[in-house]
Parts: sequence; C-alpha cells; structure tokens
Amino acid sequence: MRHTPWKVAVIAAALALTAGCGKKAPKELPPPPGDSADSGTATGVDDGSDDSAGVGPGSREDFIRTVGLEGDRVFFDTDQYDLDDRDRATLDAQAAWLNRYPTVRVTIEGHADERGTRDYNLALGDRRANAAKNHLAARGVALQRMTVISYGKERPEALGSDEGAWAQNRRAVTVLPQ
Amino acid sequence: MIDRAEAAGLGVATAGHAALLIAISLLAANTRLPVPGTDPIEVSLVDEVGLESTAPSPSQTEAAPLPGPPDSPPEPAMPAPPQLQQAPAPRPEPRPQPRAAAPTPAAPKVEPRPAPAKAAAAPARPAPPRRNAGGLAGVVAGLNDRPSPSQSTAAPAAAAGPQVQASLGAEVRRQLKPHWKAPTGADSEQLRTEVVIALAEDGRVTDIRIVGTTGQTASNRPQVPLHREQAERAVRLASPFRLPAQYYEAWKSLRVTFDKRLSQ
Amino acid sequence: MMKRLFPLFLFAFAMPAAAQLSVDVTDESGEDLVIAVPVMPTPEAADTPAGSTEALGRQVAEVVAADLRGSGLFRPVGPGGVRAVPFAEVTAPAYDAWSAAGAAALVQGFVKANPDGQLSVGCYLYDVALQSELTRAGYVVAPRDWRRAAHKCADAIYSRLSGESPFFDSRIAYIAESGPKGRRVKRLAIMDSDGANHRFLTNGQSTVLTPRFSPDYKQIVYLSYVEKRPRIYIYDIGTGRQRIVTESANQTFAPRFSPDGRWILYAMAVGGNTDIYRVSAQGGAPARLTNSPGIDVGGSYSPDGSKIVFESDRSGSQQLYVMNSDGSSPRRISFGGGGYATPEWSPRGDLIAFTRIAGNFRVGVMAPDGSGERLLTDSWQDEAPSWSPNGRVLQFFRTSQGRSGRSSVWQVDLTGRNERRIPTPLDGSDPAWGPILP
Repeated sequence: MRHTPWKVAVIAAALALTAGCGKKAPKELPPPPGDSADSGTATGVDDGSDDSAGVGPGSREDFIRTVGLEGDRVFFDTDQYDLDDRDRATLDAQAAWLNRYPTVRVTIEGHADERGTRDYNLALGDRRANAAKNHLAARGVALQRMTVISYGKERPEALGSDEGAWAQNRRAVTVLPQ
Repeated sequence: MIDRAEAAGLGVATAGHAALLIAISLLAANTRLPVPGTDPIEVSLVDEVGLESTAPSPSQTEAAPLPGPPDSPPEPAMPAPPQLQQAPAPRPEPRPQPRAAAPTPAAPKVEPRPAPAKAAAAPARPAPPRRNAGGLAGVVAGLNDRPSPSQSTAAPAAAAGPQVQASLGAEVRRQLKPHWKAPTGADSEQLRTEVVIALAEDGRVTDIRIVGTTGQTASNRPQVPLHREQAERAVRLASPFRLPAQYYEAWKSLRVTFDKRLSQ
Repeated sequence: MMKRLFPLFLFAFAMPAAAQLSVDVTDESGEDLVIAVPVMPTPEAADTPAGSTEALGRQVAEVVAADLRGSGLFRPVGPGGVRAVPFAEVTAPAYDAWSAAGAAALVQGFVKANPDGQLSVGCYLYDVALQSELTRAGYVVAPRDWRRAAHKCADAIYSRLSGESPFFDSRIAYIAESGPKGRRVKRLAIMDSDGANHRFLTNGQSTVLTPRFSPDYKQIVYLSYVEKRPRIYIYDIGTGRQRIVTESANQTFAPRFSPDGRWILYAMAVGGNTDIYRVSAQGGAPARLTNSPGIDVGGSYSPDGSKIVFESDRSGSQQLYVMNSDGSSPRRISFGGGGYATPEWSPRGDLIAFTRIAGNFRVGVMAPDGSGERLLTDSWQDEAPSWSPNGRVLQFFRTSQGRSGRSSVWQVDLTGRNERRIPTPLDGSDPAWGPILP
C-alpha cells in the first residue's frame, strides 16, 4: 500500500519530465528583442543605441547587426546542452564574423531556466556555454579569445513561468565587451 | 451350534459393549464442543490475562460476594470461606463450559451463589471509604443479571474473568489518558514505553517500574528518556486510581504501554 | 482443612506468575503544552545600556515565549495577559494559581544588573501539575547581549520539555533579495534565529549566492560575481574584509564548511564538467573528490566528517550519492523517481535533507542509506533545505510562480508540521543556519 503513492509519483514525474522535453521552438515565438530590453542584462547592452550611427567594424554593434535577430545566442532543451543544426548555423555565422576580427574577445554566457536548483543550474549554464565555445573553437576561433561564464538561473530573459519563457532562458549568448 | 448360555453371554457382552461405546461416545461428544468457541470471544486487550486467570482468580476474587461484605474483599485471608464454596465450582466449570447449552446444570448452581453474594456486596460497596467503582458498577450488575447464558462458563466463576478484565483495562486507560502527553519528534509515534505499576488497595501507586521502550530509531532516540519520564508522570498524576475494590487482585499490578498514535 | 488448602493448591498450579492487567494508552490529541511565561521581575530596578531591568524582564519573557511558540511544540501564554510575579515567587511558584489558569508548565525568571555592569538572567521551569521544578539555568551577559540570554533560557526549557538539543541561540545567513525578476539585487545578510539583529553585509552591486557560516561564526563563505568573475570568497565578519578561497581561472561555486571548520567543499566547472573539490579553510592546494563526466555538485559532510553526500547527474538525472570523505566509493542512495538535489546531512547524523524535483520542488528527508524517504512540503518551488543546529527544523526558500517570482525564507519541523514563513526586511533565499553559539 505504501508503494502506491510512489507509483503515482513516478508516473507523474515521468509525465512532468516529458512535458518539459518540449521541442526547442516554442509554440509562440519569443517576443522580439525590443520587448525584453528592460531585462536585457544578458546582452549587457545599456546604451540603447542600435542604429547605424557609430557602428564601427569589429564593434559590438557591428556584431549584433551582422548576426541578426537572436544570432548572438543558441537555445537548448531542458537539462540538455547539445547543439542542433540551427544552433550550429548560428554559431557558424558568429565564427565567421569573429574570424574577420581576430583581436576581438568574447564572453560566452551560459544560462538555465528557473526549473532547476541553483547550484546545478550554474553547472548546466557552464556546460551550455562551453558547448558553444567548443563549436566556435572548431570553426577557428582561438580559445584564448573566449571566456566562459555561467549565470545559472540568475538572469532570465523572459520572466514568465511557462514553457515559452523557459525555452527563451535556456541559452548561451555570445557577448562582446563594450 | 451356539448353546443358550453362550448366546446369553454374547448378548450381554454385546449389550455391555454397546452401552460402553454409547457412554464413551456421549462423553466424547460432550467434551468435544468446547474451548474453541469461548476463547476467541474474550480476546480484545486482555486475552492473555483472561486465559490465565479464568480458573484460579475467580476463586480469589469471589471473596467479595459472600459474607463480611466491604471488608472481606481486601483481606486475602477472608476470601477463603467463600472460596471453599466456590472451589468445587471452578472444577466442574471447565467441563460444563463446553456444553454451551447444557452447562445450565452446572452454571446455575454456581451463579446463584455469586449472584446473591454480589448483590450483597453491591449495596455494601458505597459504604467503604475507598473510591467507588463508578465505571464498573454497571458491569457488575450486568454480571449479576446474566447467569448462565453469557460466555461465562469462565465468566461466572471468574469475577475477574476476561470481560471484567476488559472493563478494568478500559477504566485504567480512561484515568491515565488525560495525563499522558507523548513527546513529539521525528518517528516519536513509533516509541512504546512499557511500565509496570503496583497499586495499593486504595488505588495509590506504590511502585513504578519502566520495563523498556521499543520502536527506537536513530531519529527518535533523543526522545526516549523524555518518553519514559512522561509515562511515569502520567501514572503519578493519575494516582490514586479509582477502581473497584472487589477486583483488587486483578488490578493490583498493571502493565501499561504508552505510545502516541498520530491521528493522521 | 483440605477444602481450605484446595484453592491455594489450584492457585499455585494455575497461576505461576502474578496476574497483570495489561493496558494500552495512546495519545492522539496532538495538543500543545500550555506554558505560562510571566514577565520576569527584577530584584532591584536599575538602568543598563540596554534599558531598565524592568523593561528587560518583559523583553526576555517575550523572546522566550516567541521562541517556544515558533518551535510549534508548545502553546506559550504571556507575558502579556498573565499575572505579574513578585521576585520572591520566582523560586516559590504559586502553583494553584497557575493550575487554575490552565497552565501545564511555568517559566519564571529574573533580570538583575550586576555591579560590574553585566546582566544576570535567571530562568526556571516548573511542572504545574506535579508542582516540581524541572530545570533551572542562569546566564551572565553584557547588556547588549540580553537576547542571547533569553534564547539560552528558551533553549533550556525547550530541551527539557522536548528531549531535543537546543537551537534558539544561533544565527542565520541568507541572501536578501529585491528588484525585478530579471535584474534581481542580491545582498548577503545575517540575523539571529528569530530574525533580530539583522545586518546586510554586502551592498548588492554584485550578485552573491549560497552563503554558509563557519562553525565558529567568524566567517561566511559564499559565491560572488564581483568583477564578473564568479568565485567563492570568505567574508570575515569581524573585519568586514573578503578574500578569495582558491585562485582559479575556472568558475567555483556551491561552497560549504566542514563541521570542524577545517575544510571547504566547493564545486568547480572546468570546460563544461563540474566536480567537487576540497581545500583547507586556510588556503592551499585543492584536492579533487569526484571524477565523473556528469555534474557533481553540492557536497555535505556527515557530522563526524567521515562521509559526504552530494548530487550528481552521472546516471542521467540528478540523484544523491554518498562517498567517503576522501572521495572514494560513491554510492547512489536516491531511487524514489524524479530528481534529487541539494543534499544536506543533518547535524544529528540521522537524516539527509534534499530538494526533490518532479515538476515542482519539494523539501524532503531520507535516511543516509536512502530509506525512509519523506516529503515535508508541497509547493511550486521549495528549495535548498538547511538544518537547525539540533537537526529538528528545516529551513528553505520558497519561490512563487510567475513574473514576480519572489522568494522568501520558510521553516518546517521535521514532522512536517509548523510550516511557517520567517519574516525578513526584504525577500530572501539561500538560508543557511549556523551552529549553537557557545
């Protein structure tokens, strides 16, 4: 009799986990970067300038303009840190730009959604950041140019508690210093 | 050819054997009904005690009924006279017991004696200064009213037979429960402390002995001394116990188990 | 003659042992003990830097009553609303009056100013029904430490009545939170076990996480993102200075002290792989304790220092493992389905607390061999339980669902009862409990 609640719990847990294993692309598209500007600590941008004025080659603005919407980041499944084709394409574009400006250094930030415990998410963010870094290295970007930092679940982009928000937060972002 | 003498002899022998067989089978039949029927009924809390005390203790406690009402029960010596009369009763008891219906011959014989005796004792009880057996008055009256029918075979002779034991147990529990506060703590509901209590005739506790505490785990070990202390405290606060004097022999030594059942 | 002997004869044969009435008594009431806590009188009114002794007598009684009430085991009454007790009655209680008032136990005491400026605080516990003294204690403290004397008094009473070790006279370190979910401001903070004497230790400019007291309460080890390089630091409470625990190019996190204060366990992420390391609290070369391709994080020592419980996803999901303190023989202990994280070994050694992940986060305990698993809370996210010094109360933080996602500090008793929120000036997370102050 004591085992019955366990069976229910195991089944519920299994169901919950499968629910979490959503496909990478959420049902609704994540909001465009403009909406999340007030929580955009991940990208670290606080000057707000995103027009062509003052965009020098090799600058952060140039990078963002070149890689395009969400070209600076790759997304992951729950508890996963492997790259899919879309991720690789994104990183290839980043690598191409970085190879044009070999003196530019980058920080790759790893993040996790809020559905994990704090310490584990710090480790998971590190895994994701390293996955991106390793791919960039394979595309010719020198390791010494790349620093990895994990924020775990401390810096969510999307604030909701739903699959759409979580999918947005499971990310590795390539950031150029100001 | 069988001659007459031999035939007669054969006839007598056959008849005699048949009679013997019948007699034996009757006897066997009588002794067959028995015990299985009565024992299970009495179980509840006090089965083990019930089984033991059936024959002997009744004779002891039967003391109360007969003569010198209030005083006789407490004094061990006094019981003797009534016992003498009751003594034979217990003996036949075990056998008549089986005869559920049939026992009437034996039982009624016994009943009349305890009945009037108890009746005599009943009015006398309020007189003595000791606590009245408030909770048990009804029980005793009940016993009086039900001569043979009740399981009794054991009951009648056993004034402190199983059902009385059960009533006494319930009364003791009722008097202890308000004072019993179990410690709370992880796994504390698993602790069971057993205590043996000696009582004087007026219900005062004269000795408390902690037998032991079972159900100890790594989580509730710190609670054990407190559990025992609380058990002892409950006993001290319940003293003096209010129990019927005529059953003193049955309740003069109590073995109490304290535990906490969470109502979850 | 024969007849007289007969019954005895029968008795001797049939009753080898004295007949005993067997009774089972249970307590299903779950009622709490009513304890009266009157204001503590003073033999002679005097002024101290912490106020007059009369005022202190009331405040001490208030702290004692609040501590006892907070434990969830008792129902203290007073000091407001109960009769005042003259000094002479402190050691000669008026049992009848208290019994009539319905109290089962009574706490009386006094506060006295000593000639040398110290405070003497006396504390007595009485059993009203049995009319006897259960325990007494006395403390001499500097006036500014009067709360500690009150906590020690509450501890003496709590221990005597519950059989447990004390825990009120202790401090809690945690992270004070404010600001929006995407840009949370986090500050290191410490407070007494009842929330008093609260202090912020950092100003919130850098994110700080997961603090732990050293056993001597002199230091706090924690994770700081200062200069955007997340590393673990030791903060010296006395000097207010912090130093890095171990120099590394890699990110270090999840630090905690060993029970004897000599070692610091932490996790280090190297190229995507996280393992547990140990370094001396004085500094020096770290030793690597786990070595698996999975994420190994969050080691917690057993009270005797011989074993460490930690979480690892080497099996594919987060689970709990126990290994020797030198890192050998790791053995999985969690098998209940779902993920298990943030293990913490009880200071009593009998249980390991954890966060169970199955969609939501729930706080639970299990024996060190993994058996007897019990879940104590049921909310959306209850995370990272840490133990009170006596292994009786678990403290964790609860996060609300949604865009606000605010966290607060909560406690629950080991039996699952008395779940309550601990008030803090701001929101709070990552609470950690220090040991009993000597």
